[in-house]
Amino acid sequence: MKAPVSTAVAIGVGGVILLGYFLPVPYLTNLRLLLLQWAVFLAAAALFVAALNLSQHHWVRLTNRHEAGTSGLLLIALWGSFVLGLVYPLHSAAVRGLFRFLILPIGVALLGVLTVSLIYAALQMMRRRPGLFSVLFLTTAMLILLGATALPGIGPIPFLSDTLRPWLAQVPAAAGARGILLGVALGTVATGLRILLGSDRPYGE
Amino acid sequence: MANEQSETIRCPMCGKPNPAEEEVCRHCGARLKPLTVDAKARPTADSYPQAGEEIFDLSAAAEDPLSSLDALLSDVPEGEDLLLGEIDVPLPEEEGAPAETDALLPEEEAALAANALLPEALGEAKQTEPLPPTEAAPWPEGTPEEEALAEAFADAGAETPAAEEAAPEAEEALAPAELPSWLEAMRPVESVPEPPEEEAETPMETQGPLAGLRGVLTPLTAAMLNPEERPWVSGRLALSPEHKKKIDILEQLVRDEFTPQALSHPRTPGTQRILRWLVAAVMLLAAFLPLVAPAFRQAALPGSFPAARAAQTVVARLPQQATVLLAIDYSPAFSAEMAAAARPLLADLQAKKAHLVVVSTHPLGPALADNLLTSLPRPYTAATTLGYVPGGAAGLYTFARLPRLLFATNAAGHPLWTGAALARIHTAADFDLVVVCTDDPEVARMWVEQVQPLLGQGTPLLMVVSAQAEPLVEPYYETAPRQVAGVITGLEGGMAYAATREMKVSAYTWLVWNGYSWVVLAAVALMAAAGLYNLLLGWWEARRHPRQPLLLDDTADEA
Repeated sequence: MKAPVSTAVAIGVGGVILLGYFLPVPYLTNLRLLLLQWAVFLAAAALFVAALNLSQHHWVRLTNRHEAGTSGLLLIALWGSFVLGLVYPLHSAAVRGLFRFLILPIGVALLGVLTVSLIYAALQMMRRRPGLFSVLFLTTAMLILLGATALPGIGPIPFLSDTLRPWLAQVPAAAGARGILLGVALGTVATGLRILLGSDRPYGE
Repeated sequence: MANEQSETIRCPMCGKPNPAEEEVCRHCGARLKPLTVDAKARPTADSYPQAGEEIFDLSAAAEDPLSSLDALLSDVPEGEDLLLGEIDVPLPEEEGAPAETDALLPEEEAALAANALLPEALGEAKQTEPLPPTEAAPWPEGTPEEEALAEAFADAGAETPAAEEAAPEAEEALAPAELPSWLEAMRPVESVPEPPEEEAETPMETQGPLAGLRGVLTPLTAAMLNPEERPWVSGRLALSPEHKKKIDILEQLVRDEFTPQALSHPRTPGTQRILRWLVAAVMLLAAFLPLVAPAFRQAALPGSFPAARAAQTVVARLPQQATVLLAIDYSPAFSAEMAAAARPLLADLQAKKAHLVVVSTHPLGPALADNLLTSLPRPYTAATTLGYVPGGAAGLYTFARLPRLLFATNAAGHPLWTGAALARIHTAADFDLVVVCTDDPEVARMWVEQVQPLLGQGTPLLMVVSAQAEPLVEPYYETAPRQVAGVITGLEGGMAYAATREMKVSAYTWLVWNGYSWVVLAAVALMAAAGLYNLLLGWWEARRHPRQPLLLDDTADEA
């Protein structure tokens, strides 16, 4: 068996966590919380390890002179932010300035570009893929958008804003999303069982 | 040279030349000349035991082979050698022979097996059991083809009528048959006869299946064992230029598999680039139009949002100086929409002097919360930022059960849970209200599944979500009992919340709302116009270039 110790630890911890949900035994509950606390600390450490791994990757690119400018800039931004966060508190002007004038505008700009791209794709849809489903998709998108706003001088569009749009969002859209979530939930249960039974050992990779 | 070749024959086994008079190969011992049996010397049907004659009792031999062998040997006259070559080999069954000879009984099979164990002593064994009478079928005489067939039978060793007729004369001249050398060599080593003088020096194998054979394996010599004296053989392949070319191609293919290939970026046609810039320009114009032209500002509020009204009702029931857990779990890209949705709620909480305890499962959440709270008309100062909760669902569950365990002190090392608002907090259920601001349906689901069951009846859960998360969050509000007490969705949700409370909407919010409305109208107009244009264009092209029907037969082809 590959990684027997890791498998035993994973099965044991998973069993304790699962039993703690069903059996109101104080000792079991405390043990479960202790294990979860360890998991939280491990996740925080994993985030730091991920940052180190990213830095190493870009350092290799920098030393190999493969897109060295981009990698160098990323390294400076990463470790500069890290040092800034360590030295200055969250409410300091330096950290606030970094967030307001760098992180926030970049994120918002990316979303703005995405908006333009989506509208452009909608314009091209009827040319690239004409058909019934394209018409249906475009019509639904337009109805949802119109229902979420108010026309100048008119206000909310009657029937569209108070009836059709909520129905579209809550019945067909929610039904599709819920179906996907049910599939995800079943997949999660199956994956959990596979890990608890030891047939799937992603931690041994 | 030709004479020399004619006097030597090559061994069919090892290929080495041997003198023509040799019967076996000098090198490998294989037979060089085929064994021939004189047809006249072959046994005939008369040489078989006749009815009433005694033959060797096979069944008895099977039961006790040694005693049967002793009985046989006692019948042999003294001084007469028993040769294996003198065994009477049974001939193929003749036509008309009894069926018993064809199908052997089990006892007979066992006897034959025992017979095989007996060595050459069986040559002249007396037969003790009579065999059933056999009568040979008459052989037809006539055509030359039949006579040729008879000769062929004779060559193959089969009994023919002619041989049968000649049997009385040949019986006298019956000679022992010669065995192949390999069969002779299979005998035990002790029984191998002394070799001729010229072969005496050839080493003989003493064990294994080759035991008794001479000259089969060449013994190693000192020269063979010395590496320096071995003949040098090059390990390099003689490659032709064609082979080298193919090897180069194969190496290149393998090398390319591990070499990252740059993605090809097809050049976008100029018209498409122009169209993209046109779309961006229209969007920007629509967003800034209300800003530069007051005529494009509208005073209409969005429609009714029952979930936002429910959220307002929950906040209205809050006591003064309540302790509220605020989760900021959205990404910076959605900060504008989320801030517009959360501001009326935060203003309401501020009016009730609620103390906020800020937490986030997003690494940038604390910074986003700071930005949100300080961007209010009156900065929200009654707030304690706990920080980032790692670990996803497990982290959330642990935080809801033991918030003091995860956050004992703040970043500066000062104790967190000492103030009047925080001293009574031990679990998430001790908060008066929990507000989750998120743009991600998965995060919203995580809060509902991991935290909400621990809150109890006294701590409602409110959601402030972006418009993209609404379809997945609203069902938690629609359930009975409600898992989420109220939902504020995006910009219009925030506006609806403010309208419900008859709060004064800030000028900035009105500006954003107007710009949002015009952008949405412009996008819908563009999509409708482009869709209609493309549909008409497709219809027109279909009329101009109708598709040809499939021609399935000749008639349609001619048509």
